[in-house]
Amino acid sequence: MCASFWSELGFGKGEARINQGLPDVFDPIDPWVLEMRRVTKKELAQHNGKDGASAFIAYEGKVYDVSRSFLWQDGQHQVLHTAGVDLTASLDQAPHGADLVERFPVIGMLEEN
Amino acid sequence: MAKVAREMVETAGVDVDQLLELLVKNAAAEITTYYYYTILRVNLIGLAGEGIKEIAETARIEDRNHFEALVPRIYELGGKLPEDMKEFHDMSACPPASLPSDPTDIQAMLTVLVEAERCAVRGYTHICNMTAGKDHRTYDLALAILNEEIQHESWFSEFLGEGPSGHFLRRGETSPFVRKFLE
Repeated sequence: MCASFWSELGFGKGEARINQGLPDVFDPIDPWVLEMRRVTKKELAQHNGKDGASAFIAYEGKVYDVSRSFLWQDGQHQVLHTAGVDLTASLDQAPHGADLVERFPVIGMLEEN
Repeated sequence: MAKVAREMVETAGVDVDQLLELLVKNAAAEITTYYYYTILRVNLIGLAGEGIKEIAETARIEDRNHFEALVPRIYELGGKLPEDMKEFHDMSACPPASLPSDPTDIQAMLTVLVEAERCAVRGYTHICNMTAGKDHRTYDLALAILNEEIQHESWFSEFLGEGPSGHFLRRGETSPFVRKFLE
């Protein structure tokens, strides 16, 4: 993907920023940094939306920040789902498609192991 | 509480507490949508706004009817509504259908309306899926509401020009599907 494309979306302005650890709130990240960012399952689990923690979910290898969503308050979604986990398998039973998940900002890639 | 009615649902394999939480959240969505649609409605002015006011009003009244229809089922199953209205608002199954920053932007108004309806369609589809073949009364109720929510979505979607229109304004009284649950 060319740099100008990402610039038009508001990404990659100025120096690329490598964040240490995971952000508490969404912060746009340069795509090349995004490729390098790896989120372990342990880190993912820590971001469960409880006690002020941010709420992250994983879907098909990507980690999304849902902290600002009204529908993910306290890391809970429609009674059945909680943040901090990989929800790939759960989406099959959801009354919506991946398009709704993909509206949220991606903050990294989930490590396999 | 309808003790045996609840037992039947539990025996059929439904997590009744989970179902109740969903019903209460959707009841919250209905009454808050009724409130927010009131604000949207009064802001639907001018040639374009007045053109969709009628369906916005029908959707508003029918959403209130959905709330009225859900409440008896919640109490039958042993649930209850929160005593705090703010808590009720904040637990809604759908985000607030807030007035867009520019209320004269009819596209933005229609987008708020259609997104609210789409959230409701997803919610009642979910409840139907949970209860199908297990909790006949809740399924019947959720299906009746779903029928009306799908019509609402279609109305607003068609005004947004998302596809050919297969629908008209509501003929006759409101809530043709849910009416049997309104006592």
